[in-house]
Amino acid sequence: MALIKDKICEGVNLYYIPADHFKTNRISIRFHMPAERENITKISLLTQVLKRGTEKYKDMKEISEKCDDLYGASVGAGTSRMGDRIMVGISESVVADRFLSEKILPEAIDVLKQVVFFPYLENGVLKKEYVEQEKENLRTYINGIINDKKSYANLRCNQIMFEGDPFGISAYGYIEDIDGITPENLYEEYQRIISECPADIFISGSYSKDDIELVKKEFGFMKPRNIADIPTVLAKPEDIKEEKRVTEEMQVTQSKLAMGFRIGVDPIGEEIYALTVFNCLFGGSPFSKLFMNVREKMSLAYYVYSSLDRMKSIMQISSGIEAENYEKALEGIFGQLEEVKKGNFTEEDLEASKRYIATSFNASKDSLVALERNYLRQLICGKEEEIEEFLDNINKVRKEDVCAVAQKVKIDTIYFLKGEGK
Amino acid sequence: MKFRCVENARVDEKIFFGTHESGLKIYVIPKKEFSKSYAIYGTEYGSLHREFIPLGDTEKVVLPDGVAHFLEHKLFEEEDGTDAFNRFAETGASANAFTSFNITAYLFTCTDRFYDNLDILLDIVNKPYFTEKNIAKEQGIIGQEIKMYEDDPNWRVYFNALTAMYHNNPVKIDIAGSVESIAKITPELLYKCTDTFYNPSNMRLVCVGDVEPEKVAEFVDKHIPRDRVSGEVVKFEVAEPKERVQEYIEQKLSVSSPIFNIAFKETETGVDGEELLKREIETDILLEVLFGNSSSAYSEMYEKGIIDGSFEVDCEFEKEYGFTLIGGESKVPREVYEKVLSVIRDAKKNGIDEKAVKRAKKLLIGDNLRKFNNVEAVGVEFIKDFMKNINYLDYTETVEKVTMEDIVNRLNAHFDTENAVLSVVKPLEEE
Repeated sequence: MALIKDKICEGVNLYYIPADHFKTNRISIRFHMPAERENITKISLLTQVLKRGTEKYKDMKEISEKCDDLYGASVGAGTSRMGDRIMVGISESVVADRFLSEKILPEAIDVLKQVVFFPYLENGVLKKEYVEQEKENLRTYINGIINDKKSYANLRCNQIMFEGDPFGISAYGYIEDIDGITPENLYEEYQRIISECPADIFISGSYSKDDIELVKKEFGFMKPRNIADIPTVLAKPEDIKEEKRVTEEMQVTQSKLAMGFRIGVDPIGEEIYALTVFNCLFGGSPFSKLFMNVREKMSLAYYVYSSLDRMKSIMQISSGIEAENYEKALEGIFGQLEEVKKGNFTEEDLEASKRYIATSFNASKDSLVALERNYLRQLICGKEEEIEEFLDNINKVRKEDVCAVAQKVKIDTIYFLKGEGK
Repeated sequence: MKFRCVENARVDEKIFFGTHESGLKIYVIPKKEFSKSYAIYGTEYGSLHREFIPLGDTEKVVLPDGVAHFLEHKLFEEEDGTDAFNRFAETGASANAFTSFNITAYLFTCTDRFYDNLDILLDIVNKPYFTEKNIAKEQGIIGQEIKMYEDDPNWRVYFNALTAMYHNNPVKIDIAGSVESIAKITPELLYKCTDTFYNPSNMRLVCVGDVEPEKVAEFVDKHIPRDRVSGEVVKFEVAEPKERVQEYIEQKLSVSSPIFNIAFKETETGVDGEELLKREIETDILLEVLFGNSSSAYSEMYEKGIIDGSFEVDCEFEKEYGFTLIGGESKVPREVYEKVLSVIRDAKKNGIDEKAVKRAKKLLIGDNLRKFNNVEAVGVEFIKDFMKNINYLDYTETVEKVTMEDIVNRLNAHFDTENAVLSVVKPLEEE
């Protein structure tokens, strides 16, 4: 498996990931832009409005009927983030023609093209009714983030930690910015995105030469654009002025703990391998220090784990506990971090972590979405490294490298969603 | 033991079946091109099985709620108190376990050393070890798991719907039990359950990936003596009236807007095999035609703003129970409920659009193919279906066999508008 690179024109890349063991093919297009508060809500809304209707399929019912007819082709649209960059992505997954008695790929490509480039227009702008309905839906959606207490706590932690930083901007958008959106200014934003933002088209699965030519032809009308640099500012420990502790109360049974740490390790530097091993060993696996101690020994939680954002260089810890165990849990978590810093772990812990990382990276080869995301991350970071090469580097990590990188992990924010217990 | 092979050329998949001398049924689905291999080892034992006669006994036992799930946690622990995850740390596999209404299963995903992992899996599950002390520790962890679900509005709205549907069927009891019920668990009780339900003839082993059937059999031989044949498990069926318990049920939680589940209860239970699969497919087709993204009702409700993208339809059919759920977020759940009922009444009166049925069938066939992309999903789907005597490889052909008449019959049999349920979770401050 290797990435094949091509381009439609300046600023519009075409990438092909050949993989023929899947029953489906995938095609996606992403537009890249910096995370900015002034247009994030419009961008978030736009992805929903695009799914409402196109020139050829004028409403949701017609799009869905077409997709059902193509054996359940599924079109998704949304915003995502990598570092300080936001991407608008529209993707489609479709059953490979070799399992069917008819050829559906050309029509499937056309559906995607319709959704991205030919939205349903009224008086030369996006249809008012669609925009207004999706504004209401977005309002409900943003208000609904609170329904899942775990992700709400993690999100609040991130907001507090990155106030005033592009990384703190919510990719879903903001309630207070919804009212100001009109079909006119939303359409303007849409046109800016599709004509000015750098774009990547990924096709993955089993495509013939003709299929690839078809994709190139179908998207051949896209205009050249500037390749803008969209840098990510690393979250460095030295930027921590003081540790932030925020507690908010809510009527829930279980309290949620979310902790944010700054690390400041370059995602394409040499230390990234040790950092990856550190996270697995400390809190990223079921044999990690956090799982074995805070859950198994102290019996404080059902879930407690750490995860990394390697691009921004932060670690987040997430756990569900009894309100009264707040101090005990923090003590347990920080205690384990100290243990790792001091090197109080075995060679076996180290090797187990390397094996666990190998499994999860090798497993990503079995998912077209994961393959695409891996390549995309590499392209954005500017360092291409096949999985085998990455794992070779993971294998070279020594105990002292893990201890050294652990020293860099500094607490920034502790957010506590305090429940009343029962 | 011998394996036989069944192939389906259209989906380009095959499966090896065999029964070990002990009674354990083994299934191997080769997928050599994938990086991952997967094994799932499960017993037909879940929260439904509360009443049984332990093997070798004559007296009936009634279990406290949550035992099957508690057992699942405890089996994943070694005699020296270490977690089974440590064993898998030796091989790098990612292991897990789950308990549902009728299955407890133990599984791993690996990209290397499949047979070493299989060796560990078979060893752990066949070596129960329970003490007062290790039970006490688990009560704290599971207590937090239960509380996590108590705050989960989607889980609550679902279980409340089950409570409103079922009088006696234990499907309405929370799988993890309650903090009070799990406090009653003792080592003796757990041993009774493993002796009875974890006997080979009550279990299945499904392997997916770069796996050879004969080699799997060798490892089964190593951990399960061929002569460890035990009797049939005596389970008790609970009589369940056809009628719902109540039409409406509500709970208040800290949510931003109401969440609802509309449910239809299957009243003719007890079937399995192809008939059960057909029932599930017919219901799925109806749900797509009447309420799917391409249906008129969906567009109408969406455009009116009474549903949004969270709207979902689903059905679940087992030997012991069956139901359909239609759910999502809505500011006016009652209005959605009335609309759903009126769509069903209309369909019964005016018939079903044949073109829409054809489209729904294509959608189902595509979704089924898509599932084979995922090694883990294949394993889980197959083990669940084998326990219902369904061969999942027959799916596409079964979809094609469904006639318009079948669809109409299903509509009349399952979607009883006089026996539906509406479950709502409301925001705390709302009246």
